[in-house]
Amino acid sequence: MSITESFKISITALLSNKLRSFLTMLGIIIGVAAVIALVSLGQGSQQAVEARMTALGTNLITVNAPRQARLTDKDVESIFSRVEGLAYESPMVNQQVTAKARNLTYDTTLTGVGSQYPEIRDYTVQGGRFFDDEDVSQRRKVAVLGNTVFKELFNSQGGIGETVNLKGQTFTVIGICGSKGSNAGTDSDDAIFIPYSTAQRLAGSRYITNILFKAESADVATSSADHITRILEEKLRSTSRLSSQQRSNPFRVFSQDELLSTMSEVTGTFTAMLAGIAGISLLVGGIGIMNIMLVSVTERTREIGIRKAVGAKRSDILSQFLVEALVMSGIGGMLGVLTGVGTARVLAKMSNLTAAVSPAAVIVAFAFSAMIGISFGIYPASRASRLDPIVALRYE
Amino acid sequence: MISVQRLSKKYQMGEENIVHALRGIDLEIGSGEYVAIMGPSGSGKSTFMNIVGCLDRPSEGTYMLAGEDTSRMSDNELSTIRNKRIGFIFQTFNLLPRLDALLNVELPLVYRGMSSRERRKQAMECLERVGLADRVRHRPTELSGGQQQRVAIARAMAGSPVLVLADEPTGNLDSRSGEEIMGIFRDLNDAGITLAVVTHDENIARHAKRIVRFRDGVVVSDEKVVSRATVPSASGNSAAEEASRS
Repeated sequence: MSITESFKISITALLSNKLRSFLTMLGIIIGVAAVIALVSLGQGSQQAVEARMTALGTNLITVNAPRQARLTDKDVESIFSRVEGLAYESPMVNQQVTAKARNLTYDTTLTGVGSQYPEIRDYTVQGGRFFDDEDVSQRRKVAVLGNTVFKELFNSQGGIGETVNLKGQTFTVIGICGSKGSNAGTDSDDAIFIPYSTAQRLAGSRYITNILFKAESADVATSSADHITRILEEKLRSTSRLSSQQRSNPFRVFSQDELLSTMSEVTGTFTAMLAGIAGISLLVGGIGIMNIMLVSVTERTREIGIRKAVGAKRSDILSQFLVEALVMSGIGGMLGVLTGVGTARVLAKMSNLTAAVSPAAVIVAFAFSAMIGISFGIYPASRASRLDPIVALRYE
Repeated sequence: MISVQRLSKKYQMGEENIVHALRGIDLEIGSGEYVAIMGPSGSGKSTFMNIVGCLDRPSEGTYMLAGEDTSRMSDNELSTIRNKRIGFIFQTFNLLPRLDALLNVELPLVYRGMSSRERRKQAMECLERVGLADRVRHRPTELSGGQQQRVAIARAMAGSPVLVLADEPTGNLDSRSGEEIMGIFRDLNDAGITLAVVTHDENIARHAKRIVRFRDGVVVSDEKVVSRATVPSASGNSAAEEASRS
């Protein structure tokens, strides 16, 4: 018997019991749709995270040091001059402040940085200027406002030359940054930048705990980061003020590149987990097919007997029922792909998630559903094919 | 055509209860014969028919069909024999309820891998022979018992078999439909097809040329029918009869 004949027979059988066929397919539809929707959303967020990280600059190197390491701006300069491949440097001192200007107050992050900070983080200055090395060395009370702060305190009007009160000190606004937008959930424009030296004085500390470097390219970032680590460890050996825990892991030096791959790994694992959970529902759908096929074989015992009596071979009966399971899982799989892609799109539109429907996920989910059709259809089909024609014909 | 020697069939029923359905049957049925097989229930006549029809295998003995020993054949070879050499007619018709008359008749041809056009042509011819050319698109449930059995006969004929076996073909029919069926059987036999009909109705048996009687798994008598029952030939007038009745 030809395969087209098997298809005709199975489609007739499925159409004769439409509701049951549809409900059985529904298991596969939901399974495939869940796999595709969840994987799409997972991969979408993975891509979104990667895009944001790349926007931060893949050649960014961040150093976190404990206060006990007593790093000063001299150390920053010595690292910058000794390590190859570094383009810019900036210490960073962060604190939370309530800024007051005109009659308004606004809670924001006060970021003490060096003069090269805009180059490192790709800030533009839309009005006035960023502070220079002299402002830093003189510990001048000058401030550059992030775009959000400018909006909140000055209603996006004027600002330059006016004063802003930070921690009881009066700062002169010398520049306004262009809007950079939000990044990984944080608003990059919600900050006030002042010279790090001034910030140190405000915080009452001479030491630097955070340093940013920008490597000349992403390629050298990792090796530069390694070199920085070695220098810091060398310096650490000459000081002995660290606790044993700090000694074992005193610095965190990471390039954005490493961070990127770590994040990708995390979101990748997350996506795989989602796919796994969705895969379970696909499995349950497969068991549904097997269940209904077993019922169908029992119900059609007499039919099998008749077919065998008129000359159907074991392989004919096997292929008839196997094709029936395959048609069900195949159509279910196709509908599932459509539902899954649609669901992913709708979910992405309704939330701030991004959906990336990868053809690979669609193919894998569809192939998996077909495989489920075969593996869960083969047992009922082989049971049908082994029926003794006489016993089957007598079955009521 | 059929040559059966020392044929026996045992069934294992439970632990130590062996049922001997057939106990050493020797029987020859020649080409073109029309044999009625009779006997009370439990005499082994249906078991015999199943073995002759290659639906079952004997426990012992040999069964030669047209010179071929079937006892050594594989399941697939037996399927092919059923498909090409044998036509089966059952008491309960055994049509597939979801398929219309035409598709039911096509069924044996499907398993021969015949193209659908050829199948249709051959099945139509068979349905015309049993006087159902106007009912080809009806499903079994839309047909009377007699019509269903005629569809079943057409199906048995579709594969142009050399041997047609019928197991109580008129058992579920009124006498008038039964007569019609016997008329068709006579036409088939006249056309050279070997027929074996299992029945317990003496009137039906008298249509055959030879009656073989079974009892307790053995043949107890085997005789020629002296005065055969006569029925009008089915071809030609049955459609007219059908019309006049309705």
